[in-house]
Amino acid sequence: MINKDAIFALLRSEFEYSMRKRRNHLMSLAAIIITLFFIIYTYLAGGLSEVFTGYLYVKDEYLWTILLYSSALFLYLLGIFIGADVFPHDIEEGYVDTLYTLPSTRIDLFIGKLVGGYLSLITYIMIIEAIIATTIYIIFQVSIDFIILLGITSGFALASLVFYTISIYLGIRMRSWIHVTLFSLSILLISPFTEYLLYGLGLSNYSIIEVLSNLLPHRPLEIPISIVYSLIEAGEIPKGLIDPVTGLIIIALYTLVFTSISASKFIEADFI
Amino acid sequence: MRVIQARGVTRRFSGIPVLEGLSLDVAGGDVYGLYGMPEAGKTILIKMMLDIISRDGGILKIFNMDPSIHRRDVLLRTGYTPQDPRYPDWFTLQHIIKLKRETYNRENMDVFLKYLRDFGLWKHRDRRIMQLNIKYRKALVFLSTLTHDPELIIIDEVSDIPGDIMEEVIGEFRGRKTFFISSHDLDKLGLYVKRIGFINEGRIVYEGTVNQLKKMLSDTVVLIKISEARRDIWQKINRLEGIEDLSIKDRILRIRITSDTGVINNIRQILKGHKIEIKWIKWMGKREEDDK
Repeated sequence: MINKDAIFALLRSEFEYSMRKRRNHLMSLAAIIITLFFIIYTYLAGGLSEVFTGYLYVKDEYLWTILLYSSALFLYLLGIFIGADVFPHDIEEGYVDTLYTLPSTRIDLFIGKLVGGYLSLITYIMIIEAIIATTIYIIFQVSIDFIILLGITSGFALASLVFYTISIYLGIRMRSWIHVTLFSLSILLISPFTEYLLYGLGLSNYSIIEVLSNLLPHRPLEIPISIVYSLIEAGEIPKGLIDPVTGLIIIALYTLVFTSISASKFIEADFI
Repeated sequence: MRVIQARGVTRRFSGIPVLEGLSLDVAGGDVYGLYGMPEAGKTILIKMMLDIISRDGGILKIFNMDPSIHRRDVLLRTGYTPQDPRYPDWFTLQHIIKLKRETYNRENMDVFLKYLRDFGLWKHRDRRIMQLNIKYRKALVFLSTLTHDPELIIIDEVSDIPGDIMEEVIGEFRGRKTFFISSHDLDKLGLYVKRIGFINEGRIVYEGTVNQLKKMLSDTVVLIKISEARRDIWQKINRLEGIEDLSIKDRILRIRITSDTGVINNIRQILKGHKIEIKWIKWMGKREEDDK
């Protein structure tokens, strides 16, 4: 039976640990700097304007995509960093003897830590977005619509789940933060190349290749971008970008698979 | 009533046996000491009792329950002080108590606060726990285990906790709580326990009184595997009182000890001072002589 008290205590402890970690602060700072850099660059290049009242919009679609992709990439990296450290840090730092001997079942432990780490990831995303939105308002006197912000936040939070759960699983197996991070990063890098390779090989059988490419773990990362497009362009998502519904199904599949295998591995793991 | 029951407990790591058919019984209200050389399997056994690691075979029951099945029920009734208690950097004693308050259903702060004041530890309550030296850190963590009024108190490596605190707590709760205390320091362990088990190469090879064990361990052969063999260190060890026939082969020191095992601690201190790591220590008993 699940014990709410134990789960909440472990969740809070994991959340607090993740929010205080210097590595995560640096990564958040990098995400803020890179986004602001692109916004200012596009403004100076004359590509920034307001097309709808209250919406900040970049005229050049290419820059708009680069802006979202580059800042999104840092947020996903943050997801990898947080996920990679949820379990290995307890073993590496020796917290197992103190935190894992609190009266809880192993499943309570797993849920508390998994959710605690994820909540900290969402909090980082919200903090980063709040800082960027405030800066944009101060510099350009343009306020980003609340719906857009909410859409981007939900998109990032959901899409981050894919690499967060992959890193959680690898963390339980590998028990080394640096190994998990490098392995997750390599998946993140190899995934788009695999997509190009699939298209290159499968010209005669396009639909199957499309389904297969949608299953690659990097595809859900496009969700925030397609959400923004669908909000700004009144439902029009550019061809090639994953649509939110397909993306959500893929995210649900990854989350379910990796959370289940992580939990089963965690239940029988030695914390040594 | 038996609080701890182990029968033929085994565990291997990468094919190497760590516990090999270990059996022991600890009755309720007992103060049981587990003595063993470093890497003998003391910590592994304790971690099995708390379901931090699993066992390959055998029966292990705490309060007549298997900890790997009834983890929460066992931990609710147990207070554990690890060998080197570690917490996140910002943790103070207040954080530890808060975490305990959130997870245990019962709380008895009176005894804990009394001890904090009696032993002058109250002033450390707001200090970061990881900034305290091991002596104070371990004392605070040990006393904090009393807040949930555990029936079984497990201490891994008791020699780091100040003796006056241990004597006071054991004295107050003797017969009412069960203590399971491990150490590699037989003299320290002897201060608190009457009944002792000696673990060597993953088995309990002796159970009885501390004095009998001391007699058994005198005039015996000990093997110490070290990370680096250096002549100057060898000479230093050879000068220690209570040592005869020191030899070294393949980074394994073979030492005949003529006094009790207190000399092992002196060897450990010398090696630690020269940053030489001890891979394992094995007590060979009279076995080598029999082989000859």
